[in-house]
Amino acid sequence: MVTDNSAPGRSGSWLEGLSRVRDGRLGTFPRHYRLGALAGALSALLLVNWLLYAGASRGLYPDAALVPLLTLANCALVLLFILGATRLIDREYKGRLQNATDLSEAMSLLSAVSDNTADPIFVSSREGLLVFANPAALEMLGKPREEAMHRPLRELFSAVGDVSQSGAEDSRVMQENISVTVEHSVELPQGVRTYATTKSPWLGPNGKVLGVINISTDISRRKEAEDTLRARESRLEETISRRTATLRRLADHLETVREEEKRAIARELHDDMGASLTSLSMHMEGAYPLLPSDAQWTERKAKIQNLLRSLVMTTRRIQTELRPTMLDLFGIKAAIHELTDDFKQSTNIACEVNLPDEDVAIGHKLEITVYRMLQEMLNNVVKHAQATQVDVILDVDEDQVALTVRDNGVGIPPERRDVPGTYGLRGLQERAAFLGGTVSITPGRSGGTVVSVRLPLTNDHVNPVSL
Amino acid sequence: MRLLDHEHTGRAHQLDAGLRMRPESVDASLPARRQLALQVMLVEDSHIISDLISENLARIPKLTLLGIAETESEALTMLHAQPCDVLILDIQLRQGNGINLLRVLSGDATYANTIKIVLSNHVSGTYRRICEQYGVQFFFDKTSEFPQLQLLLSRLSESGIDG
Repeated sequence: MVTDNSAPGRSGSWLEGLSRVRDGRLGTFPRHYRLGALAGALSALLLVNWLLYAGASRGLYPDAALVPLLTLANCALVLLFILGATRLIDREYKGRLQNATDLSEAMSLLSAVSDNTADPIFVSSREGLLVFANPAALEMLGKPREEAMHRPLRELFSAVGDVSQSGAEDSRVMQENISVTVEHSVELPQGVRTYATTKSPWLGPNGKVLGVINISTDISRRKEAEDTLRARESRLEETISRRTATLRRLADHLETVREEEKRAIARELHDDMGASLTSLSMHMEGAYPLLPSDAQWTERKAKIQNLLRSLVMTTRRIQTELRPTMLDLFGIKAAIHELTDDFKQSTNIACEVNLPDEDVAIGHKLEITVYRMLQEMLNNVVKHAQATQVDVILDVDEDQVALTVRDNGVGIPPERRDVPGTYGLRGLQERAAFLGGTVSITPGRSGGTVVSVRLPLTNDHVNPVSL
Repeated sequence: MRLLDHEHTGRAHQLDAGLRMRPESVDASLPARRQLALQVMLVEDSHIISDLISENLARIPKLTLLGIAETESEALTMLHAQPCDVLILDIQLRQGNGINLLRVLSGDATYANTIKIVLSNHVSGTYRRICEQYGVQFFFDKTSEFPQLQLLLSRLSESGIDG
């Protein structure tokens, strides 16, 4: 991992001090200052000598006194110069002494800091050679100082199994004058350690880049914690997805059991109650002519007939609701026709059905699923859509079966479309998800809603439920 | 499969699965009578109802109930053994179903002249449409329209199927 640090590195100031010591420039006077002092001294000598000559020529003192006066004045001046120079030298010496003390203190402080820090600090030159390394850095490189110094960093890191230090990052740091952080691991005898190393340019006093300063932090523990956390997260996700799958399988199992029970009850209703009612009706037909023909019995006969008719209708309705016989006998196409016919009759909503021309063979399980989904979708239209027209489209190709119900109703507001359970679509989505399919809810082109269910025809991932 | 006597008797000796139809030798006068009587076959899986139907059909003169099949395959076997004039069938059967039977028959010219009548408790428009597609001429609600079927059969037995 590489991170760019926003501020360019300035942490090389103490190293700048080091470089000044190396250049021998600390505490020296500037050249122009020394030349000025010399010129001043010579000018003062000339001025004093000229003034003494001028005094002699004007007869202020006898000529014989000129030489001793000149000698005296010059000697005094030279003495003054020597005194001044001595003071200057003394001051410079003291300054130098102070600087050397300061530097030594700074150096000892720095070396104490760098020696005692657990964070590896190391510096490489422009050529990529190691020019400084604190003990922690040497430990990271697994080499004593004498073996590591002035060796290429790339080689040193390769020796501890870290091939990520190709030097590319160092070049970037030096060229772009930026600071970056990289994550890298080294293999040490005590184990693999991971470090986050911040690389900053080492700038000389004139702003020239002299190399790269690296400060590393051992993030092995953090890394381990992160890895543990990640592993725990993935285990958790795995558990959740496994449990979700189990729940879906359970839901599917319950659905299948429910369907089977409903089918059994429907069958019993047909075979037992239906047959009994039919035979009762037939018997009654034979008995009606035997009834007395007075008004009372005529009325009774009508009542008996009405009762029987209502009983038969209820039985048939319950039977169809429990299990669409049409589906078992003639498949999904006929069942959809029957369902939409009933829908039209009971709701007065126009319903257009568009089915494949060829026979649809998608297996009993998918057939009942598609049928129940269509029932649910049509129920939703009645409950929520306020539609006057519904289109039901069934498409079957090699891979999937697609059932679309399009209405011209009020539509679903976008903010409610993705809310689970909205529009009574939760069950649809769950069922479709278990079968590896999808449910999409979109607004119709000219208003209303389009609900589309896609189910794959091969459900290899559907396993029998294990309870 | 239940095989019937030429007249409408009970079901006591009708359950011989190996026997396709009643042997001709049992009643020598049968062929002649069959020439006249309307040959009817019933496909119905409920005993209570088939008993009632056969009982009621017995009252119709010049009508012979050839046999009662309870499943689709029984019905096919029975029809292959002996064609009939009128086939009365239910839609939902213990095995197979009436519409499949009709589908098979519709592809066989032998049964083109057989009058197919559906007598069922599945009476929705979709069933009626499908039955019509497969050449069903009459469709009766089993519970409420049996008297109409009786009337139709009486008429047919009187006038013959061409009449």
